[in-house]
Amino acid sequence: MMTFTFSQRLTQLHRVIISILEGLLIFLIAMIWRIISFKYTHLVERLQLLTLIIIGEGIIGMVKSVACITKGQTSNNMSEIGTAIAAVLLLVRLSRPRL
Amino acid sequence: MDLARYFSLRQKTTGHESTHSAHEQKGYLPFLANPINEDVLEVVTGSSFDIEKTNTHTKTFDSSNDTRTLAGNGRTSRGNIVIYKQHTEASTIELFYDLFFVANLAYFTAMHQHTDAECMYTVNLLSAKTDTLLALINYLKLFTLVWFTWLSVTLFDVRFSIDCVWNRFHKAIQFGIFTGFVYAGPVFDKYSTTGVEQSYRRFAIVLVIGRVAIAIQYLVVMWQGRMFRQTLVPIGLSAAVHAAAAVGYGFTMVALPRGRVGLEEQLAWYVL
Repeated sequence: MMTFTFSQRLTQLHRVIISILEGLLIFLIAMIWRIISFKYTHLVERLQLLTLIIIGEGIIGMVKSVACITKGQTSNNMSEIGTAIAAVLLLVRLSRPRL
Repeated sequence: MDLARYFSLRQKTTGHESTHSAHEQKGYLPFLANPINEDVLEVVTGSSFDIEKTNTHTKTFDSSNDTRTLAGNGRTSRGNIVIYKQHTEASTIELFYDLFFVANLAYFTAMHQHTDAECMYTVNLLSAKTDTLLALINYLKLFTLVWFTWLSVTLFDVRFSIDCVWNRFHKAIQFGIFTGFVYAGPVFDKYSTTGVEQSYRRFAIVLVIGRVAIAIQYLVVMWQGRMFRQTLVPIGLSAAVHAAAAVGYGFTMVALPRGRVGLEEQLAWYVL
């Protein structure tokens, strides 16, 4: 069960390649024919909002991890607290790059 | 456009008299709203359907208001015509779609945390490391698939989406597609060996349906903007790209019915 053949590792890689090519081609079409370009659209805003939501998801994961760490022990050492603070700061930094 | 503003003003000033017109304005959602700017339709009346001609024609006397990015009459400051209606901010249904994306991501993240935890119990350190690497690669593959699905829907939405029954119907389809991504779970989870083949096939069906839906949306927009000949080629090409992707996914379903395939077939896919 633990052994992997080469073909098994490449499972679904062709689908990934198709999807990447598809997205790139759509961008390329919009770049060549400027009439359907993204110039006056809210694409950037959509990407920002998606990033924000994904970072929210990251916060959920982080809190879960912190809970997992602190669950089994009675006293916390300083390095764990420092790691948690660093994780929070990293997320803040990611969510507000201009801070 | 100005008339609509006057209507809303009149509703505010005259209180109960305008209930009738308010009902009329609310109405039902149109089944198929047109993403074309009405102002452009006013501009290109008559026989001059060629945009290049009208662009060069109007460029001379529209140069006074260069400061504004979007001047009136559906043109930009340089006199170029903006054919499609502009959105300034994301609508609620688009944000809801983002939520579906993130829910998918959360599901797979939780699944792979489970996988990584199991990886730690293997005795052999080397095999544990390769397992973790494979799990990471699988996660990356899945993220790529989900994100590019999201991307192709979003790239359509930011340009052509207008709130109408037809687009809401397609949004519902896309919600279903993201729900259908659960079929991808057993394929990418290397510990569940049962039902991989079946879910692999169903996942392909899900992908095909999603891309076909996007292609149809592009075709509808192409038909709606058929009077602008310049838009026909790029939108048609976009639809063709999505249709080709749908065919490709369908081909992965038919030609490679098992999750595991031979090396030479993989090489064929690299070439494609």
